[in-house]
Amino acid sequence: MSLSINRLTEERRQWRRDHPFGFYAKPHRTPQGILDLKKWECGIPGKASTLWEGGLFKLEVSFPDEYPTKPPKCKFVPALFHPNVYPSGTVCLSILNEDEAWTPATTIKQLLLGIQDLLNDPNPESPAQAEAYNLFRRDRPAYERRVRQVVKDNPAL
Amino acid sequence: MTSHFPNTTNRPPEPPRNNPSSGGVLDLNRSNSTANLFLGGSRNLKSWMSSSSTDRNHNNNKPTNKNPIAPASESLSSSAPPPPPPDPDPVSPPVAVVISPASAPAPTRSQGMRNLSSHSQNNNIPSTGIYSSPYASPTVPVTSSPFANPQNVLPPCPQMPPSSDTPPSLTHSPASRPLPTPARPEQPAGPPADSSRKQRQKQQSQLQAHLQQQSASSLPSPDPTIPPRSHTSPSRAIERNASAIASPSTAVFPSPPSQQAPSIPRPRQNPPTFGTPSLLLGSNPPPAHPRTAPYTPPVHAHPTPAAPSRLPPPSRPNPAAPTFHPNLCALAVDDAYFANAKKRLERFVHDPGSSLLISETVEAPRFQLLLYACTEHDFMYLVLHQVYCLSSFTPSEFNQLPGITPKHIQGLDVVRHLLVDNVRVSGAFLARCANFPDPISELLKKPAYQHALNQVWHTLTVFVDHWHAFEDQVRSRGYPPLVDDIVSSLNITSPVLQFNIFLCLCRRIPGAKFEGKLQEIFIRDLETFKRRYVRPISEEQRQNENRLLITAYRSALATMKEHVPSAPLQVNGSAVARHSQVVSASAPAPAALPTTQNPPPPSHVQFHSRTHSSNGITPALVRSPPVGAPPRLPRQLGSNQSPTQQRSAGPLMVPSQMTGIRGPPPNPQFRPPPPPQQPQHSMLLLPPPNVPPVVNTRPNPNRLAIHQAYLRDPVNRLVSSDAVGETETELLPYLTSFVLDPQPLGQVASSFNWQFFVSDKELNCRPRVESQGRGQRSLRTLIDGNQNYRLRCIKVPPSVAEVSEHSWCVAETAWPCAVYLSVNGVEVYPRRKIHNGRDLPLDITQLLQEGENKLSVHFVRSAAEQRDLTYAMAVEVLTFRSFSHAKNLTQTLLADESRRRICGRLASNPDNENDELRIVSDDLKVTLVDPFTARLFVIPVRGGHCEHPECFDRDTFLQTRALKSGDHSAIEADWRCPICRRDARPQSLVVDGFLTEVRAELERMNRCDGARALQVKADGSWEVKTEEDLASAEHGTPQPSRTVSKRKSTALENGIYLPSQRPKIDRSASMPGGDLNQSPTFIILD
Repeated sequence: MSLSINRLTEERRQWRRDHPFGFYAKPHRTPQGILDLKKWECGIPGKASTLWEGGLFKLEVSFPDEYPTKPPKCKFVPALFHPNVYPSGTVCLSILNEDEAWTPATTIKQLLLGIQDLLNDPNPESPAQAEAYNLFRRDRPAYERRVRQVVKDNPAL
Repeated sequence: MTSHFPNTTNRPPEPPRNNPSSGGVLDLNRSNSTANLFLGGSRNLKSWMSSSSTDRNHNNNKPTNKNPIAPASESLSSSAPPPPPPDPDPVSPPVAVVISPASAPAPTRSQGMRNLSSHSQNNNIPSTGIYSSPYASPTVPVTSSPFANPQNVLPPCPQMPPSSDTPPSLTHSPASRPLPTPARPEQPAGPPADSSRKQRQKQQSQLQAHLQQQSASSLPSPDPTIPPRSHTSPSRAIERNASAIASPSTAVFPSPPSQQAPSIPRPRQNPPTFGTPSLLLGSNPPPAHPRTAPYTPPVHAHPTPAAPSRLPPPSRPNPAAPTFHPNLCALAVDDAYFANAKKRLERFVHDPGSSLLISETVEAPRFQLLLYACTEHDFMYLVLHQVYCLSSFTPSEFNQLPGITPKHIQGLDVVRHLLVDNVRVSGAFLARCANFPDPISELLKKPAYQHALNQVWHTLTVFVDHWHAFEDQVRSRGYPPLVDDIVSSLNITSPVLQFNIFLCLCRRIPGAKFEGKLQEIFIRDLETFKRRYVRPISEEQRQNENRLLITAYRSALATMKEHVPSAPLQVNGSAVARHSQVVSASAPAPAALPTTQNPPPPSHVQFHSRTHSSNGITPALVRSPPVGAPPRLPRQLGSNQSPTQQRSAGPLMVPSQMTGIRGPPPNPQFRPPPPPQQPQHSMLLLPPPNVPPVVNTRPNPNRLAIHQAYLRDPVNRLVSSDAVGETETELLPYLTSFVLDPQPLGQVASSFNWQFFVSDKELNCRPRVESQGRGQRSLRTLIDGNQNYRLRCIKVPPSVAEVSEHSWCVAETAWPCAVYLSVNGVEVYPRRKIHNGRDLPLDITQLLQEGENKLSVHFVRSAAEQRDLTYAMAVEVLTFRSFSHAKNLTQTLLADESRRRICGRLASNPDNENDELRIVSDDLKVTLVDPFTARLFVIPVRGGHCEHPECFDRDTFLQTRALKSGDHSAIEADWRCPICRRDARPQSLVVDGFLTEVRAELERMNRCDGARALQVKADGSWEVKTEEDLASAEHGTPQPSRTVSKRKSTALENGIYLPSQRPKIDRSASMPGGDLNQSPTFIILD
């Protein structure tokens, strides 16, 4: 088995053994019922006592063949209103960037926790979508209203 | 068409003239990075840089089309250092003929050729479209007027008829115009002597030729073939004259002294002599030359008789006028003086020796301004500049200047903002400038100097008193200063300084990013302002004009903001809305003006409002550079100035110009066609000049680097050959040595030549490369032991004198902005980050030869690269090795030694732990998990320079570095420790004996699977921590949420791992920590 599959198997094992509350992460199951370890479906809850509290945001994580040498790609489905999320839903985060902070040792758990942190702590230095970024910079109340709406649209179970 | 536009209007905006050239320079600067992007490869680039002739041809089409503006060209040629060629351009005549036979295009041609502005180079705007519109440019007064006939010509010139409405003083200029044109009997203002005209004309033409040869200003191409034509058409001559005269008038405005004064004595002394014309020539803003010169020698020569008329300083009914003091200095400092000064400047610029001294970002803009000042006869600016240079260069002399006070010195602070700080300027340049236009001792003898110096002192005082208020005011109102503002608030009449102030403030206005448009407006402003001298206007008109300008500024700014989503926002929020209102309101305004013959180009305004609607929706994806960039000098003064823009801008000004003009009712035919939309669009499609290209976070080289397809890596085929034959394999490419050790490039030198030797034997280790035919990637066959030679450049701190191999091999490649490399005489081209995601090493294997090899590096330093951004370069040997070979390279750290080190760690920092809350003081935790597999390593290794106790698994690590056959690139080989990113090449790896022992022990106890970490005590004893141990330790005081999840996970294992549930008590975790076979039913949360 290739390194990436080995690693993903291990990741899955560890996740099932222990993972943070409110999150979920599971390999995608194809319509034929086969598990695709290279594509995971995850859910990230908004942090308590933040704007995002009460929301649960669906994330697709796809792992390249070179994983874990190369980072997975994380994409919110549907695209999320957030300054650091591209209109496609792809997350722009340093620990997801091969040339920045990605290291092979980063686990899925760390990754999802990192993205959860990002929700309430956007990085205005690397905006990825205009709408959220502009509101965030110019009109914080409107931004917060939008976030609340987003949370309402993506309620935790 | 010229007829409709008063000459003054025709005058191309002057400030920009100088710029284009500087723009060109600028481009060179950025050539490698940007040009690659837009020009399609460094190959282009090179030719572009090296041979001006090719450039010119290259340019030819574009600038001309786009840029019918004659004046611009001249200044260009004269001021532009890069294109020194004063030689006639062979290309122009034919082209001109082809294009518009009716109009005399040749002049434009030559201009175009001169116009090396970066803009024109970069924008490959379809030339044809532009060519077809001879009318398109109201700005080309001279040549292109098919309609040019006396009738048409005359009326439009506001000065022409000694009109009753114009004050007497104004009439002078008209008078002067008629004089020069010999062929015009119908001239209202009769030329003095008809008979002498022809003669004079001849003289003039001779003189012209003379001048052309002589003048360093590199008059474009005196095309001998064309002159007859120019002579024959009187109308043209008139036009030309008109323009020539108009230019003086323009020149008169801000720097009246030089202009007027010389004109006075001239007529008296010796009107017809050769000398005088030359003076006049000098007085004409150079731009006029390129156009007129080739065509109509007579133009320049004629002026003398007219001169006296110009003499009286413009009588100014104009309110702004009082601020201008006709300068007496002109008495001593005349046209010739400026021409001379300019020549000297140019000589310095073109001097190959000085080219090194002149950086495009620092000195070049200053040069441009000086040239501009010479052109404008702006003596005051020259003096100011000299004073400024003296203040830093020879403070002693500076302090002895007559009339100096501490306040003046204080005022220089503002100058420092306006110009580049002298600290950044090279000493040699400063030395030059401190003696320019003349050594101070000589200047002091001139009465004019004293006058100018007084003006300078005055200005400096004003700076101290009013500058900050002025700046704040401009910034708060959000659009650049008008000339009127500068004159009335600061009382500054030097056009160069005005322009400078404009630029400086422009750059401080939030959102003003794309200066080109603003400059264009300012230039129009300057023009209008000058015109008011000639033809004073009512206060109301003046306000009207100003209002138009403000509107134009606002809409230009508004468009900019759209493109700059990240622009400073505090202003934007409301500003945008306001702007859009303004724009829509302003749209009809022009039409309401008295003269509607030339309605302002609707497209212009509509364009803005249209884009407004989309405002805010424009994705911010376009990452624009920070807007608040530090003020740059006008290095791109004119480079932004696309001629088309100027042209389109022209009509906006028309209403005011047209008022009061008597003449044939405007013929609709003559109306300049509304500025084509096209230029606007092209501005949208092409990046604005001088804006750093947007950097894609993850560029796709298959798309972005396609222009450099020839630089692609070959396809690799990795084989191992044995008795049986070749089989595909994987190899590990890693750096083994250098043939040229890392050479720091320092902060100064910019040219390097190195030799290195490659033996026959080494050469034989090169991989086999087979070409796969044209357009195909070649195939490289690699076997164990092959070696590649790569040229790399990395960033190093300035202080570094030597770069060690292990620090070299982990450093990313970083090419300087502009670097020219050749190996054994063959130029090689690096691939860059902008196209490929990162700067890539340069494989030079195939260029090497046995014995001595030569590497030469030429490097154009940017400002940063002259200071703290320094590089080192080396040729490294990359060896391809098999796994087995690489594995054998690892060394071993004996268990005892390793244990000793770990224990030493414990001993060394016991006191640190006071503030650590949870840590039990006497042990050290070492993670046993390999970062790649997230499981226990098999053979624990770390880099020889790593300082952490943690290890990773050797074989896994090597495996992930393997190069496979196919499209993969050896660049991928990243031999950095996955934990700390230090050198972890196979030969640097060290197996940790202690952890190997631990591993063996765990294996023996069958506890490998659950082991996550090792707890080592100071005495060397250790325990293994399992996941559960760690989890519980982590969640010592678990949040409710975590408890829940934890409970679930423990529940899973309840039956199996009893002991591990109480990790805190039972640290040894005696139970085998195993992977349990969880049945799906256990998966609760999934």
